[in-house]
Amino acid sequence: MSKNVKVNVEYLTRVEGHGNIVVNVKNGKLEECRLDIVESPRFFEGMLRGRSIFEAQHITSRICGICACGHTLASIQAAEDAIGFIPTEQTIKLRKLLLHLENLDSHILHIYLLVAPDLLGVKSFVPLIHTHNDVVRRALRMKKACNDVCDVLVGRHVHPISAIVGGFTKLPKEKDIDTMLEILESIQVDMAPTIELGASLKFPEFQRETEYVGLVNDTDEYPLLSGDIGSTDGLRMDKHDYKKITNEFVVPHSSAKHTKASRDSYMVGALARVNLNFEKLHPKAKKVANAIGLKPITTNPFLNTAAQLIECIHSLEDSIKILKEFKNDGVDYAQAITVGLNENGQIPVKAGKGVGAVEVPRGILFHEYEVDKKGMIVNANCIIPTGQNCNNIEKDMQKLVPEVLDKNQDEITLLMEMLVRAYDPCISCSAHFLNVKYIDC
Amino acid sequence: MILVFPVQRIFLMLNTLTADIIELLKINPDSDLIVAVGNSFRSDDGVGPYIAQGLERIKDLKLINAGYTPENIIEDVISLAPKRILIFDAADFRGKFGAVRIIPEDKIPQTTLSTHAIPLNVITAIIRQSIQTEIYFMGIQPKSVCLGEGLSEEVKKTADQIIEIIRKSILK
Repeated sequence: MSKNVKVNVEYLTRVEGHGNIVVNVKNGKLEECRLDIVESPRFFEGMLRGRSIFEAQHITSRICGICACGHTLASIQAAEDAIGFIPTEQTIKLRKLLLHLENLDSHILHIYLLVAPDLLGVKSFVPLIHTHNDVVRRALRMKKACNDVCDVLVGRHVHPISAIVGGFTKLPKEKDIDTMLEILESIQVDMAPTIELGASLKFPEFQRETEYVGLVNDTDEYPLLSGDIGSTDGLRMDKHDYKKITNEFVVPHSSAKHTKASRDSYMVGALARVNLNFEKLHPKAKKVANAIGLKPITTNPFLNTAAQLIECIHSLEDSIKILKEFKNDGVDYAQAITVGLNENGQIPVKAGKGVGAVEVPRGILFHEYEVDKKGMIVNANCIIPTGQNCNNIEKDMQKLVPEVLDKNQDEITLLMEMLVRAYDPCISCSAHFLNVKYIDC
Repeated sequence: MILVFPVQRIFLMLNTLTADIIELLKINPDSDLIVAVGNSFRSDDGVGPYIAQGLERIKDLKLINAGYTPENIIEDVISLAPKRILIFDAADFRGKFGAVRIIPEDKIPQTTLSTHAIPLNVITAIIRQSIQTEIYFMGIQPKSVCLGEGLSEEVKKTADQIIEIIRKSILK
């Protein structure tokens, strides 16, 4: 086929951060096909050096305004792992609730605000304000509800205050549990039309087999907060060996490092999780998945959005279940702790290394801290889901472009944009690329 | 903070509060709503919440401190159905520190729309679909929006003036 196509999207809209799409086809031959990540590195790992593990979660929470709870939880998990602290069952349950709220909030916004406009044939979410105002209001109502529950649970809409190393400074009172339940039950009302909308969206047809990576476990629970790292290619390893999965490498056009495991790239996120743990989803989520024809292993990356919808139902139902259990069984308020910077040595500290591996909205997030005997961070490493997806996005683009050369340039450009958006990339968060050598003066 | 686009450079400015703005600050508690926006951990970006704190004890005043999540106030605003909404936020229009300007809605760029940030004029467009209301973006020129608590002297002075004018207009 002799066709020339030149796509240069600078910057891609409806994603967080700055990324460019570059495609160059000459005489039907793909010469260039890249996702350029042009954000500056943010040096959070450098900022953590010399800081206490008891303040790390407040610092890393600021990596992302939408995954603030995920970073908080990965940070706490890495810190607790490093010093050998084992959280109580109640603490783990409350942390699961926090993670559900964030995944639900983020997925809702991605589905409604960023993906739906493409599938409804408008250029952005803004025209929908006039044509589908009730839909827009529903999306923001659901988002607000998640934020409000987060506020009740951890003290703020974003950037939690009360979730700390060792547990929670404040535990929900009976009336707080009732408030959270009431708010979440209001989301249930809005979830029905959300499912209808999701089921009506027509996603582009495209298949590319790849490796899907996420948390796995041997229990019945859909793993989000703990487990081993697994893949659809059969990899399974302890979270401490995460670098054997990520195998980060630098490419010239990206300030986000690329990753690969068994193949030349892998995908993380809702689709990876659903592919790996479909049977463990809440029955209501599985029912909707079956109704919209999403089953493992789905290899169409555009359906990451459909997988997010399925996870919304799972997170909502599991959150309500957790809260009802607290309502029935009560909360052990004796577990509330105030640690500060652990000045009083309330939590025993020792030197060590620890890893946090948490499934946040865009995929598995790793934090690793090396800690000295005083609990100060000597070294830190944070590997963000979007960084892990960048390589896979490019491989998808490289397969998709030759398959759609019969379309005109605008259609190809839109498809490329939709593909990248399907991954819900958080580009600013992904940018960590420089290996900085510190020289003692 | 509102990023005004394209940046309007205003060099000659004698008053931080012009006569038209002082007129706008005369509040009718029955029909007006004040919305404060901003992040108190970013120095002068906290001017909105500072004004809200200064006004929160005034009986009958309709006031929402939206903080850093203004998109969460939509349903509350629609249910209050005010005839007029004054939104206070820091706005970089390259004016004198502490100066107040009415920011035209079309000067607020929508390019930042993502799951992480929803521009104020998108939020007001959603509100306008449901209620008929006049909306004024009251932009206050910050000196600094760096991480940190507390307002600069210039911005605090303006904020205190705004609080006082509103208070007097209601309590007269």
